[in-house]
Amino acid sequence: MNQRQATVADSSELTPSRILSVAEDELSRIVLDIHDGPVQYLFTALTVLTGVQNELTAEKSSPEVLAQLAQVGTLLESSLYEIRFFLGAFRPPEFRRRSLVSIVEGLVIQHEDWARTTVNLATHDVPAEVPLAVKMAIYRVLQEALSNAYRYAGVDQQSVHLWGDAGWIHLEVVDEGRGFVPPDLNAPDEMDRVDHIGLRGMHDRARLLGGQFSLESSPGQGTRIHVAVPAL
Amino acid sequence: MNSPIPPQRIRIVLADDHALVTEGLRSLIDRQPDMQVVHAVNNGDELLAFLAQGIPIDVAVVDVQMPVSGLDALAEIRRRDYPVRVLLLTAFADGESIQAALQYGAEGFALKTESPTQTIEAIRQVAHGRLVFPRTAQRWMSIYRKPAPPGPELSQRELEVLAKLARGLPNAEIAAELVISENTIRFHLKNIYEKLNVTNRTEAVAWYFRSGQGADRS
Repeated sequence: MNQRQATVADSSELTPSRILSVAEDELSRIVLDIHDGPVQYLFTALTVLTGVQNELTAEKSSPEVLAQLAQVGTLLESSLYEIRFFLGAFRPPEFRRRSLVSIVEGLVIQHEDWARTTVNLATHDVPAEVPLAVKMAIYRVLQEALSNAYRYAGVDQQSVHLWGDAGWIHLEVVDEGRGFVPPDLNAPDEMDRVDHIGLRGMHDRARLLGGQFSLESSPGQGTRIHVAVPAL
Repeated sequence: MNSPIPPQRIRIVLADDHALVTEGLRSLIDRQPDMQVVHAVNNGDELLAFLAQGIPIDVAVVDVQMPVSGLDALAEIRRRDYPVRVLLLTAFADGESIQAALQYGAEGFALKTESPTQTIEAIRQVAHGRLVFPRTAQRWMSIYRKPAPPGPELSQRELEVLAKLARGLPNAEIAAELVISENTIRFHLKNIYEKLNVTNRTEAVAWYFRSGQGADRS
């Protein structure tokens, strides 16, 4: 009896917001574990190695040993380089403390830095206070949309438009790249295909919050993604 | 060419809660002919307490993710106007970290996910008065939503100084390019800070890009 009551109580708390929040908190914990462990060890190992290399070079040590140490250094650097992208992509920003506009700006900077592209960002009428779940959804949708545009559109410019209107938050991501034939968003079989997993994620995040997701694209005509979610 | 090597070594304080990291960096830095680690601390509070002693320090290398965060410590360093340049050290090359470094007025930003030799070079650059930020940081300054305050009347000369500051040049090189003395540059900078109501080079450069003056730069 008690167990059943507990189950009912638990499920009633599993709101979409709570699910999103728990997922982001879990990610945050994993990222911090990697940050506090492997990243510090690898950075220190590389620091010590660099010192040793400097000394051995000054002492004119055997070229074979120096070459092997250089190889170790390259491996360590490669490990850090790969972790860097993982940390950046998965580390949730401080959703609770920061405004939606600031979070979106941060993601745009990060994407420009990595992809060496230009993102034209415009924001207006975005409320200062936006629910946590909305911030998380907009952030992850934008991350996926920018990443898709970079990987598939074949252009070095994208436009991002974020605005508020009548209690809704709108996000639009547009590129004038090569475009594609979009799947039917309402056909489960099509949306379950591996190559559409990113689209399904964006779609599901919007719908989870009672919002809408739309995609316009055709070969040679670029791509436009629009998400609208209630801000209340 | 870079400025001549200062007559004395670059004096450095390290602040990081990972003892391994500080030990490693200290050993690497102390092997450099032009720099030395004066002290190392574990958190932001210890860093502030050390700086309060007034021991001359050129560059503080500050981990962002330590107890009493590097950002809080940086904000306090600026508020107390300690004469030290700050290089933030972080594993996170994300937009939030870059934003924070700019907003809080750090002189530079180095990554733990890059080779430590880059950290060493960043310390050197910051010590010579340069700003060390990723390429995109400048672009962010130009799109930063806070509009530039209207109407500060900068003279033509002050705008020239500011443009060179935005290129990351140290005072000595700005002076050389404008064929005026370093003292005059310092005088111009003081006036620029007062007119823009800012307290450091980073904020002045951020104003410059936000105002659209640097829009033609990539």
